[in-house]
Amino acid sequence: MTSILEKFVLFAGVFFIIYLLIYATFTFLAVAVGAYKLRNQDRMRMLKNELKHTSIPISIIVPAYNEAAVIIKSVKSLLALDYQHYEIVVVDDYSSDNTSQLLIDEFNMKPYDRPINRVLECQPHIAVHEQKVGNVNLTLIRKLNGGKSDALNMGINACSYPYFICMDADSFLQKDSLEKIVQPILEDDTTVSVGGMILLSQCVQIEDGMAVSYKLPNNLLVSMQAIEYDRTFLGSRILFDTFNGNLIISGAYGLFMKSLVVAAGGYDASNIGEDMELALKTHVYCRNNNIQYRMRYASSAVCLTQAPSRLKDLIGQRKRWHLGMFQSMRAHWQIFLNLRFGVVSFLSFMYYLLYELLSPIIEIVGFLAIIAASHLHLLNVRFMVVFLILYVIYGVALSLCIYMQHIYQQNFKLSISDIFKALAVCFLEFVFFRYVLVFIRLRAFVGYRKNKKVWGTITRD
Amino acid sequence: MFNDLRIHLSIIMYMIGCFSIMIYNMFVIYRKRNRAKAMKKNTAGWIKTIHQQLAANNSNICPKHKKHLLKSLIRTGELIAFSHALKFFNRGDSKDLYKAYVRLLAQSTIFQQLALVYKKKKNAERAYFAYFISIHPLVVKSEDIICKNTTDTMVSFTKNADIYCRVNVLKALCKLGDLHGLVSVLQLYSNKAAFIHHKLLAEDLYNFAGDKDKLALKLWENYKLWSNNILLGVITFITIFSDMFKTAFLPVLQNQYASIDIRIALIHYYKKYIYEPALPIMLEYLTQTKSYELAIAAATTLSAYPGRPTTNALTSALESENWYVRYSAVSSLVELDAYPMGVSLQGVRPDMFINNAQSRDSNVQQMIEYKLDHANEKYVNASEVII
Repeated sequence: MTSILEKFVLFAGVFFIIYLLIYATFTFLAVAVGAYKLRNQDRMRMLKNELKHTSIPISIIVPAYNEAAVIIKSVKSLLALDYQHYEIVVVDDYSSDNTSQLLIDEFNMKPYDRPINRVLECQPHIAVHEQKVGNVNLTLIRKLNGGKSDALNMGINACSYPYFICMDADSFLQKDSLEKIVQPILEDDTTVSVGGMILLSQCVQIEDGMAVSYKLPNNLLVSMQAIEYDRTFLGSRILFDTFNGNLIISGAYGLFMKSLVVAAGGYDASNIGEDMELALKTHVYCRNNNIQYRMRYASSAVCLTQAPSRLKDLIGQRKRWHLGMFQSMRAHWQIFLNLRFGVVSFLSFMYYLLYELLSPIIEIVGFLAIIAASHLHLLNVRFMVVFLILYVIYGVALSLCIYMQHIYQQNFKLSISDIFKALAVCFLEFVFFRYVLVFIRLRAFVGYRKNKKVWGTITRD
Repeated sequence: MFNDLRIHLSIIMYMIGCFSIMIYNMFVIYRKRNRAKAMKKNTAGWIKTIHQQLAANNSNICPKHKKHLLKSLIRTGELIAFSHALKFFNRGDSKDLYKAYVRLLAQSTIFQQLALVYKKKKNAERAYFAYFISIHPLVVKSEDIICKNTTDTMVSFTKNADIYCRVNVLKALCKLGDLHGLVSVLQLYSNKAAFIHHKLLAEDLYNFAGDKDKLALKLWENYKLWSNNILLGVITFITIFSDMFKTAFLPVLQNQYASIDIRIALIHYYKKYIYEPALPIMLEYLTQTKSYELAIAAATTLSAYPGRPTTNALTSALESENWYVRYSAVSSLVELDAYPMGVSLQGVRPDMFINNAQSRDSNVQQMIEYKLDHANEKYVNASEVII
């Protein structure tokens, strides 16, 4: 027994050193590539190396469930976007509050018996209201409850334009974000989807539809999420984008080519991680059909969203995300170690598998290995402590780098006090928040079956 | 297997790399903050210099100023500041000063020489030079030898260029009204299958400073040379402003081997500019073609061609297997009947085709009622405006 345990401890020691070194390499590359690309983008902007066109028609689909508190503000902000040719389709997934009625009253919307081509399966609609506000066609579809993916499928069926954007009803787009998100389409006609950057609304001050300043809020939970978001959106997404390897187009803000999504079968209504599922489905569909494609990420297309400020909400959100990731990766398991998928399989998919999906289990095994090593007197405490200290310093430095990249990417001002605050938050995020997330992710599978059609809700600040 | 020190060292190496990036980021933030101040200062300097040149009241650029321009503007940062200074003059009361100064510059070979300098620079800087020329057309006449040299150099910018440089050069050539340069550059893009979104191309061509009719003719003359993407841009551009291509477009519309996108663009042209000889082709696309995209475009365009054959074809399209063909056919039928303001032109009233369609597809009936609701609303709104 002791011999087996010893072998396990020795194996775990080697495994975790390799595991952490690969992770360190990945995060370093993400930050380095992010720094290079963002600086380059900034320079390109300064040198007017930009493509601007605001008349590529876009449909904005806003799935909503019990969003009475924000829906009017959200739609009004969408109506004020700096873009010529777009429509808004709000899909009310049978809210129990007065989400639909508020919209009907506010915009004087009229009922129509509108025919909808149901190319994608979804729950039937109950009523359709329409109104033209300025130059923008606003449509409200109230349908039977089917979940977010189902509501998005209804939106795709009803929308009129060749590209659509899916976004959350509680998110707000920066005024120039449509113009920015279509840029990859203007650059390359093989672009089939574009992900936008998500910024936490609790951190920014908005003036005239644009974020003008950025401060980490006093709520520690939100601050730590802000650092985590930055690391994702200004680090790993940019790195994956360099080799067309992004596996997630954020559900809060993403643009898609309608014909391709329809051909691929739309959103899977049984999946609660609809954003990752659609991105994986796109990779699979295009590779299986030999379609040349690009899934891009536009860090300058900014969407503001509210992060959970209470632990209970955060737990619910992260459980959903982790479960969604599990469902999506299981549904598209064919990508795993498949030569046909190239780097998407061997880098992106493996990264998400080992460092996202399985990371809570791997980390728990790591803790068990430390306990076992200590029990067998095999623990090199000095090595472990020095390694831990170095790793924490490294992790904090990386997060701080990304934070700074965010500051210069969006022209925000940075004071000395901001740097110290960011340093403290990065430290807490690295040594505390990550382990809270490990615990939450481990619990994700409890109640897995009953959560399928549940909409994610958080308490509004 | 692993040496403790080596593991620690590898982490320390990453840490050093990370701190280097952090220092780099701080440097970028610091430079960015100072860049705005420096730009403001440089712009003010250029405004002063331009004022001095204008105050000298010479008919030519004075040698000292020319030397200063040639020495400074080879740096892209200075060119940006110079552009800001010119923008400062090109507004309000000082527009005349701007024109006078631009005239002086246009007579000199400064930008011809600068173009040669920028030709050797990186893509991004070449693209900026082209952008600069597109917003300040400092070489006035396209037939002028100075202009020709400058535009020829800019055409050469596009060899191995990225999309931004390609688009900016295109913009500059259009703003200068250089037909020859434009054709050369489009030829180059076509040969290299270099992508330019057709909407961007059409927009730039529409901003052509010279004779647009001449440009359209020249571009269509060479249509066989263009890649599909460029041809699509050319057709979109022509559709915006010219009805002179009704006859010329017809053989391409008829050509079964032409790309579907091109034929759809041509069908849209014939919606804007009515041409009866195109009608049989569109009727054929609606009724006999296997391409739903063409059928949808034809169904939409036929609303501009009232008549019994149109009504018959649209009515038979209500039985199409494709939802969008049926929907477009319904839209056109309703549009035909409601135009002008509810007066039936063909004696085909809405209730007639409702009854007709009812037996076949309740979905079609729903489409008709929906379209009629909208048409009635438009009619009511229009009546209210008249009243």
